[in-house]
Amino acid sequence: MSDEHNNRLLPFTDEALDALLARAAKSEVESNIDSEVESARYKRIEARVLNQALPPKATQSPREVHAGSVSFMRGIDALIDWLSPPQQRHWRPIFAAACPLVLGIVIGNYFHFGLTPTSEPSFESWDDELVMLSFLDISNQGEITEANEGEIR
Amino acid sequence: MNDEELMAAVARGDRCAYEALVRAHLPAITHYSLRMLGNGRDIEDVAQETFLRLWVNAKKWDPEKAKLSTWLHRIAHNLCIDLVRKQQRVMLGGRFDGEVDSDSSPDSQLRGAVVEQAKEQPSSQQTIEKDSELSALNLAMSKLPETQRSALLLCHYQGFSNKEAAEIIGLSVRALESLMARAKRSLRTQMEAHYNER
Repeated sequence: MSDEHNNRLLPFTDEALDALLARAAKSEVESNIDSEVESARYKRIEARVLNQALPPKATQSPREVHAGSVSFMRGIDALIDWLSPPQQRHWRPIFAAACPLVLGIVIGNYFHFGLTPTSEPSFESWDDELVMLSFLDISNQGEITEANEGEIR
Repeated sequence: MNDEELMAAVARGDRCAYEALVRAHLPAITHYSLRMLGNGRDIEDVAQETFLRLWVNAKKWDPEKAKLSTWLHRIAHNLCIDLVRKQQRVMLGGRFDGEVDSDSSPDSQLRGAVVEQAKEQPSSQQTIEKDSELSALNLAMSKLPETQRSALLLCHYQGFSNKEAAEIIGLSVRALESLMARAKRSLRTQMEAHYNER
């Protein structure tokens, strides 16, 4: 075939290629799928799919999981499906991973767990605190400090 | 009964509902698998496995998330991609015994099917030119990477919208459009090379 003929056939633009693809979808080449050979193959496939062994569905029995547990598992499945969506939405698993941290911060801010402000000495200034710190024995040799000097002597 | 009611019945174990769904959706799944894999036993395996998964996972289908045809095509797409890649790994990693192994790969089967169809040409010159163009297109499509081929098949042959096709392949709409643009560029290049050889 000549170059001119080939150039006339080549779909250079997207629109031309789209038109060619649309034509291909409807063309006689595609309709060969509906030919006798293909219909015989399709019947074979249909028979195989219809006659395949299907696993039995789970049935309810007194020994089966309680309905509450079943709905709980469905909730877990729904949560997992939500966390792993088909499209890229990374905020969901990141949000779920950050929840324990946020929860811990909230709990720590609003609950004291027995540690009340009066259980620890509070000082009005750094000077008072430094004076109190000076009475502490922080040496390893256990030297007598002014705080317990009266007791030893 | 519509798809929702049939799927609810399938979830309860209704075999008649399963058969109704098979008869309704098997043609589209078979055509898609045929265009992805070519002739061969792989089409039967994909179709059987797709509807087996429909039976097993009927409860998980959510009609608000996707249509049943979209859901089924997603299953078939994943199965076809797995098969193509498995065959490619076998061909690259294992020994390559000439025509026997090369003819067994899905891509080769697809190209073979296209060549066979191209041989059946009617006599009129205009029809010959048109069919030659279509044959060149089909041959070029058979050489595309499987994901690009799937995108074109879903949008242009199976009639899905860009959004539905993106859900099937597991991409964003923008990523799908980019994939299709690359696929069309590859098609043009393949067809140009094909005509230059003649």
